[in-house]
Amino acid sequence: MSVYRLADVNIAYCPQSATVAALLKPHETDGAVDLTLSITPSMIEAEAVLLPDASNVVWELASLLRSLQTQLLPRDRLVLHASCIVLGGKAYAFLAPSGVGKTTHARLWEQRLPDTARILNGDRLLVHVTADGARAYGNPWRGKEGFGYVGDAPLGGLFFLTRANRSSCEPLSAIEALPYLLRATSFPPDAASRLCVLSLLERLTAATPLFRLYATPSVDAVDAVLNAIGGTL
Amino acid sequence: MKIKQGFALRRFADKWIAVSCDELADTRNVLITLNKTAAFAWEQLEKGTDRAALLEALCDRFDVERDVASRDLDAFLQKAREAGILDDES
Repeated sequence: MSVYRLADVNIAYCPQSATVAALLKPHETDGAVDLTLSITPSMIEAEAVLLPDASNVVWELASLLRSLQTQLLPRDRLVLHASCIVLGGKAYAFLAPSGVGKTTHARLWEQRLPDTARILNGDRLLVHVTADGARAYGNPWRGKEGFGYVGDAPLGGLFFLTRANRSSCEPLSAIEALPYLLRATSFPPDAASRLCVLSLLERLTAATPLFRLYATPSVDAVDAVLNAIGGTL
Repeated sequence: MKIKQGFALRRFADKWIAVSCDELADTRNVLITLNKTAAFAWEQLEKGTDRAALLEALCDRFDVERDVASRDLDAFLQKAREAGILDDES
């Protein structure tokens, strides 16, 4: 059993494969355990039903993520389906369903600002909503390309990404952002947890600037974001 | 008329939303955004009412002309029926 630090929570877990152990290793810590996770064969089977052509490693990672989402919710932490870059000490997250281009967009940041922008994660983001604002964390769920590092930063903006022929960026209200956020996070089956997710999202949207980003697959999209966040850079 | 069981009404930022508590509901069906007159109508419908009583209650509660209230109410009821959340029988 090893202890891993994810979103400032120390989690005891025993990886079932060397591959998963290697992916988790950068997060190893010797701090006191906050919670313990374990994956049962039936959890693995449930993931195998959803992704029949995948591998044990993928199923274990998916089970772990699902379990983590449930256990972290009472600790004011969410998993968002989003890529994220860090620039000037702040994290900027890009939300979109799979295939729309959030990883592509994150890579454009490193292309446009190679000395200053870094991809925190290409596919998933752990977010802790605190009284002082939201904080974004790197994690092992980096998508197939594997972009990311172990680190964290205060969340400076959430961008809801759609493809377009011209890049532009405009502010969005919390209620407009809500449907996109619900699709980017797992919506639990029980009513009490749902209301908990909504409370967290309400606090997250109150604490974080929100934008709609119409993006071309070019650095124009990065410039559109830079213009939008201008004063906060 | 009554709102079907299994929804929770709550505030989100400066609006009202109704969230499905049905575990089979996915996020596309689960969320309905309401302005304050629709939220008031919803609360009345949770207890069960008819259109006439609802219109009276709306005109009492909000400073709005009857024909405007009538139009807005029918638009809301139509949306609620289309979303499958209104029980016309009870």
